[in-house]
Amino acid sequence: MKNRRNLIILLIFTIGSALFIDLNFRYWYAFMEQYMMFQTTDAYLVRHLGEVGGVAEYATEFLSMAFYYPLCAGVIISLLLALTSWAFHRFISACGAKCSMLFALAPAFLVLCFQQESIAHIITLCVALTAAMAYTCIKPDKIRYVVGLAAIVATYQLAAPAHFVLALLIAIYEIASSRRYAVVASVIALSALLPLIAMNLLYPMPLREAFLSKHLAHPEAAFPTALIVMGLAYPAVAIVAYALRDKELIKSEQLRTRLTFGTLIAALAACILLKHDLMEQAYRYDYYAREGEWQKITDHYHHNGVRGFEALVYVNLAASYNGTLLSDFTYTPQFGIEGLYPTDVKFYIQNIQASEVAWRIGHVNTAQRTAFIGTLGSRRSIQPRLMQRLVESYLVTGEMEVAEKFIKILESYPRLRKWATAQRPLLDPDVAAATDWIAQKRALAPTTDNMHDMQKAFPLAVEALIIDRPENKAAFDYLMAFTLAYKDLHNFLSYIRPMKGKPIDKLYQEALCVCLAVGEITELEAVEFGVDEAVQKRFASFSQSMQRLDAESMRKMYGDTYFYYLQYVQTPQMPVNEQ
Amino acid sequence: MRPSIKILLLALPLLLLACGTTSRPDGAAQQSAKPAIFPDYTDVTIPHNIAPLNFRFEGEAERCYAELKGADLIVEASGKGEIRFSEKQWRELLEKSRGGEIELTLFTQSGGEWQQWQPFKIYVSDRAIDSHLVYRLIEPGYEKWHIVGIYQRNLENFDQEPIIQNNMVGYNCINCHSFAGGDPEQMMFHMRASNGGTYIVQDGQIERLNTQTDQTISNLTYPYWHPSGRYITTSVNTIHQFFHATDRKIEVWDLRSDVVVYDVEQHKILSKASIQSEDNFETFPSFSPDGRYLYFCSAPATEMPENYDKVRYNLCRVEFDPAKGEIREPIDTLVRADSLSYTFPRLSPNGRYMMYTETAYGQFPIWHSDAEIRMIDIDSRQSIDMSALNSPDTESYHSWSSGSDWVVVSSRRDNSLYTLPYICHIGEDGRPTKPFLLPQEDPDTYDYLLYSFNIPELVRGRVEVSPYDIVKAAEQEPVQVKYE
Repeated sequence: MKNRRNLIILLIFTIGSALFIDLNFRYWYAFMEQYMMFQTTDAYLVRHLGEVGGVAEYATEFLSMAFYYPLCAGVIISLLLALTSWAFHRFISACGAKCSMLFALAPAFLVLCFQQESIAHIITLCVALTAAMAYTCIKPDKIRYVVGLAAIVATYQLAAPAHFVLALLIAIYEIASSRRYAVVASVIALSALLPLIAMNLLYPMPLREAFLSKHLAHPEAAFPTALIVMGLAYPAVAIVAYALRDKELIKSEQLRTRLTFGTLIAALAACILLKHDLMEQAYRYDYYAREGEWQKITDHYHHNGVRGFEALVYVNLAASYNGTLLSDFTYTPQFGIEGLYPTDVKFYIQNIQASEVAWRIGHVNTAQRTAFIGTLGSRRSIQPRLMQRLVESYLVTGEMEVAEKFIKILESYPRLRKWATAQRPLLDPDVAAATDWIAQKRALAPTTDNMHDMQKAFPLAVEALIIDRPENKAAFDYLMAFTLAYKDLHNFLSYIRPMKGKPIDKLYQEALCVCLAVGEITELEAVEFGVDEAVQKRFASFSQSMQRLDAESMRKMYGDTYFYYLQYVQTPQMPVNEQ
Repeated sequence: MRPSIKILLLALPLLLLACGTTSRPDGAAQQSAKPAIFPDYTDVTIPHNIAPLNFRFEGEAERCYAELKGADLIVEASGKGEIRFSEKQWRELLEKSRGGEIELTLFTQSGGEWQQWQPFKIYVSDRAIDSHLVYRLIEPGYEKWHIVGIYQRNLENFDQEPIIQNNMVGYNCINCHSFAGGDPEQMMFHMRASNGGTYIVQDGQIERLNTQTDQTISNLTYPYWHPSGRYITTSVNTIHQFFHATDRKIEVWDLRSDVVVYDVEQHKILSKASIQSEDNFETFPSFSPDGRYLYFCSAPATEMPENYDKVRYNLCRVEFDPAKGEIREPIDTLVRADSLSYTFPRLSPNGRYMMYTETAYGQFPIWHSDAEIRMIDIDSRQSIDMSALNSPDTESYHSWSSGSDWVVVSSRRDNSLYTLPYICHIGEDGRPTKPFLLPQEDPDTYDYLLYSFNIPELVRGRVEVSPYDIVKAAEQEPVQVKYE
């Protein structure tokens, strides 16, 4: 009966946690998946075997390939947590404590609440708890001690710092079952000494890597306290369970059952309802961008608005691909360069965005360079999605040898093997030249060298590109979006003058109306630009209404116009490095 | 990874490999061409103490079999698409074939049928190469890095160990390692950002220095030891870079640069030995093997970066008095920059030749595909034909072995992006032979490696200083150098 109830608890937790991950963090895991690259080469396996905690990392990268697909992150994580919790429950029982599965699940909720960059910590905990459970199954004492010591060494090499957790759990078990304090002291001492031994025998490594492996968290950042709490939670819960082993806190079986299931479902519901990924929208859009599903970004944004610059960059990029960057200008929140192109890169996603925008407008060298930086800045110095961009950029620039190098690397990565192999025919320069997308990119790329860095001088870099390629509409639209966001009518006019006599967007016509009103252009020029009469009439109406109506009424009547933006919307501040 | 651990980890696959060995095929169809292999070791000259030249076949092959014939000895190896020789057998073969040649015949199986390719020769020099190569591994990135380290590779086997890796010292930048006459016990390098400073390893001690002074443009930068170990000459530079919009990628240029000489014993930068002039950019200094001359590059100062592609460096030298720590003018221009620019002057240890890098402009040629190695006879000033060493792509930094018989050259000939070390024999007459790529145990290593080999320096033995000692030194307060 109890076994069946525990099983049901575990099942509910598994389903609930899978739902929680998929509903709230699917895109976070899909985003982080692209910062790993599991390779099927022998050298890759050997390298991981030789690293402290390397096998856990190998398993992490293998399983993480699935995170790209819907539901997979939730299913994999919940199953790992279920296995860990089941092993923990068995361990607690072996220590002589009687508790429900809910008690054993408590640390797993910590894991759910504190999402990390990968699931390396979950695999590490799974290894530790499974080893601890297996330890308790060995009945002959001496064999168990020897196996335990060997297991600590093995878990250290394979899944450090699992050995710490294992050592603590073994200590708890031995205190609970046999009071063999010498064994307790041995396992604790061994687990503390192993890193020091490894530093001298395996390979030179920093102290933190020796103790905690380099795979749990970005080594350049402070080690997350949450991971330490998670690791210690298991021994702590085991101690509490053992301390309460003779106590029956709730005597009524029915009440106990109701409380157990009620608590479990409430906890899962609380997680699903309250624990959200603050960057969910940005990561979702990044996922859509990876797939080239620009319309999905636009649709989602229209329904949900936009939160954060990272999401806004994708909104504008999607608008560019959909041809609505200008028509959506007055609907989209305008923050100048920060919503268009990341210049002050602090987060992983911004390097991806820099490469995507540069690629979109045809600045191939910048797309390539930011793809490189985005790779180097990551924890594992690998980024298969940006490596795809490197392949594409080198095919465009005709640097076939280096394109082939990256193709070969990507062919060792199962998820992109097919894509990589499909690029091989393009290594033939004649085939590349005859391939549409390559030809189009080459037709947009700059031809005249200059020193303007898109990160530091976005308008100058894009302006130089347009001088080379006046037909590059994507670049032109970006430059105009930048210029108009900052209400720089002077530069706007210098960019638009070559377009006299050609059809121009409504946004430009509205800006020209203002230019006419302030005397920046003449009536004749307005005619030459072809400013529509309807636009002019609306501007005249706007000018008159300004005297009579309040800002809110003006927004309702003219909020979709550039002249409203110019007059009523606060001008974004130009970042220092762009000034 | 420690060698013993690597052996353990590789034992299993090697055992499996051994189980799949092939014997010499009979009735193979004769091919008229030599096999296409990577790395290309056909007709190269190698030192007798080099590690095995493992390679892979570049075509389609289910199995490969190689037969190496030397003096009185035949070595066989087989594999699936690649050939890895037994280190023991290889060493024995090379030892017996010193001064002679070995002939390699490759057989490949494709579609169940064997082909026999035309044999090619490998010439085994009687001259050894220095046992270790020290280099920095760094991504050929732009303005960011993650893992950077200085490593030493034993050229007689495949062992590579870190001398120092930046994950142990705060993920900073480690650069510009240099050795006094190839002596592994006299070494220096810089760290930038956290634990910044110049680190000098000498007599078993590590000293951390703060080399910024009011009288110099910057910290000590590109170094070269005096053969006595008493002095180090370096440039001091204000280095900038920008990114091209087309074709080329990066341009590295100096806003200002000078050459100084640092007295290691007295912790002083010697003004009387330094060449500091606002009218010229001086950089990349080196000493002659006898320590009597200071070599450097010099270009007339100009507005930068506007004229970045018009700056052309001459190669110059000036007498240096090691007893007094002074230079003695006049400055002699050895190679005049007319339409080209010259950098990295390096004299052979026997003092006969000066090797340098030529490029269209500037002094940082690694991003210039036109960069080539040149060499002159220092006495006659006659150029030596280096075409056998150069390629259509970048050849840049170079380092001599202690015997003046071998050089290691940084080259981007493989894919124009990743810099790899090529070893080249220099004959008595100064002429180079076809260079060969530093051998790796796994011939696919370079394909998957995302690092460039930077500043390859040949050294005469293993660098014994431990990374942990360097970490300890990084925790010391730096000694402030003075300018005198």
